Amino acid sequence: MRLWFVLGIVLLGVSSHATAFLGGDANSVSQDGRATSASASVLASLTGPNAATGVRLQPVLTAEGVSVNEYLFQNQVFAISWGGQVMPDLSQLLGSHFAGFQQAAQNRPRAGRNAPLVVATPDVVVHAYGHMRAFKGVAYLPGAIPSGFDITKIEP
Amino acid sequence: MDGLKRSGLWVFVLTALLLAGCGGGGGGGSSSTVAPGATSSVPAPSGANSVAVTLAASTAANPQINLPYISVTLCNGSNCATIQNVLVDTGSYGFRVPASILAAAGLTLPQVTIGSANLVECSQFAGGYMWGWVKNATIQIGGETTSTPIPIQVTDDATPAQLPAPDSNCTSSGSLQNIGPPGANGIGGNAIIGLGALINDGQRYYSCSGSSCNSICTGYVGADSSTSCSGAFSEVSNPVASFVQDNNGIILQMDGVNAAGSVITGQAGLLIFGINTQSNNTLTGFQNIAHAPQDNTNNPDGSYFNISYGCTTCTPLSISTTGFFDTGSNYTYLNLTSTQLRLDSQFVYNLRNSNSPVTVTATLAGSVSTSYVVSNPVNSNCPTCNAYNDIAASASNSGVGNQADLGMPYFYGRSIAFAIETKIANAPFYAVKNP
Repeated sequence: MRLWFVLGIVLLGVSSHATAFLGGDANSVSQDGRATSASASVLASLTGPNAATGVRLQPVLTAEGVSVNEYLFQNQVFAISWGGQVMPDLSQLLGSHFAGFQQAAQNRPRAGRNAPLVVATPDVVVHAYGHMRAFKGVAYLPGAIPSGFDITKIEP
Repeated sequence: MDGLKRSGLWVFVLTALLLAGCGGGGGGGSSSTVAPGATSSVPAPSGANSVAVTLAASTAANPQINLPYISVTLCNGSNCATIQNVLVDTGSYGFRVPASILAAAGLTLPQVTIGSANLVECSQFAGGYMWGWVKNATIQIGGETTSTPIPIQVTDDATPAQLPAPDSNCTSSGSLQNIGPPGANGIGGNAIIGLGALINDGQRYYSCSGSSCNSICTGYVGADSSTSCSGAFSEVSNPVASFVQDNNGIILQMDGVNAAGSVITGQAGLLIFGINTQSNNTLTGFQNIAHAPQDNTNNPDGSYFNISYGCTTCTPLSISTTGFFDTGSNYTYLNLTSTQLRLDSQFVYNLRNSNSPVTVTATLAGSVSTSYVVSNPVNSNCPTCNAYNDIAASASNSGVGNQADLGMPYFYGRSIAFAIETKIANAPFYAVKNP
């Protein structure tokens, strides 16, 4: 019992970095920040042509003040977009997809200095751009985009 | 971390450092070589508030394009050192220099402390992050000086690293970005000076003792103010805003260059401090470009302006998004889908076949019309060409994300003013004077 108690404390202590929500379920949203809609349990509906897809949108604010929109379909987060004065912690936001992103990021072709970061693997697409104090970006799972959903509309 | 594997290169770089007594001294080359075909129109520096801008040289072995430099003097009391080839970056805020450069210059700067711990910073750029100490220095450029020492970032480029490794919330956004000379896989200068239209850098700060660092907070007052530690310490900040005079902005005036590439040695531009404070920095003839409303998601720091841009063969004909001017981007980044253009493997736009250059037209802040030509990229017949005004790369090869980054190519032949927040009414704003 005592061992489990200690282990539980340890897991709680690292949970903000150990659990991610891209690919996670609606409950994983709370790992990344504080819900900013009226209630964390209420998911705002999308508007426009994407409204009919059944995708739901959950905005959250990370501990460092980055605004993150999480797109959920059938209880799974399949896309995120963000804007903030610092970059979000992508090891948190990308979860199990982070390692693949990091590898691809190191090998990516780049045009010039300060180029936007574009990583596209069959598993995950990450696009980060902007500059100091004005960072924006999107990430999504290409294989999990619901039919009929226009992924280009998730730009923050 | 790999920055100092190239110690041989650093020896070369350090020979470029000039040790100088206090007092700055703007100067700058008055001789300029522009070829082929372009005209040099920028006046030589005069008075206390202007300095020459040069461009990094390009060679076949070490091609470099569109890297603007100035010289900056750092002082600790009466001990000063002038650092040459400091990259001018309007897309960031604050001065950053590697510890090795200061050491070679024989300059020791006082460390900023929080209690008994050292204040350490993670600063982030689109291409990666920098990790280093926060130290105080008086900064002199030309005849301008900060009224007091201000915080700067001194990056840890020692091998092995002198600082503990940074947190994942710092490193997860990309790779370590070195400050280093062209060819060293770094940012392309001996240091970088961020002098855009904001003051504080708003980055992540840590208190470090021995082998451990604790995240303090981010430096800005964000949407969630409970996470901010604003007021607990002074952040690394835009040196211009701390000048005794001419501290409300800058005007960068760049030479016009040839579309096929130019070789510019000596002066390529003029960096003027202050707006409407001297006879040489009025905004007569400039068009005002207002910033878009601050929005934590779309315009996090309120520094973006609205832009719509496109071309006659583009699909769609026009894209509406946010944009910014950035001397730290050596390409212009746009999202152009056109039958006239193709992307190469580096995501750089090339013309298809024998198509003529594509003219991109844009409206800034809803009212100011401008244009930009996209042609074939770097001229392989001119390895020494270091200035191009018609190169562009894709802002997004994924089809998502349309932001317009008007980089150095856009600055040639124009004067662009950056009015610093709180220093002038309606700032931050920008103003452009076309040729």
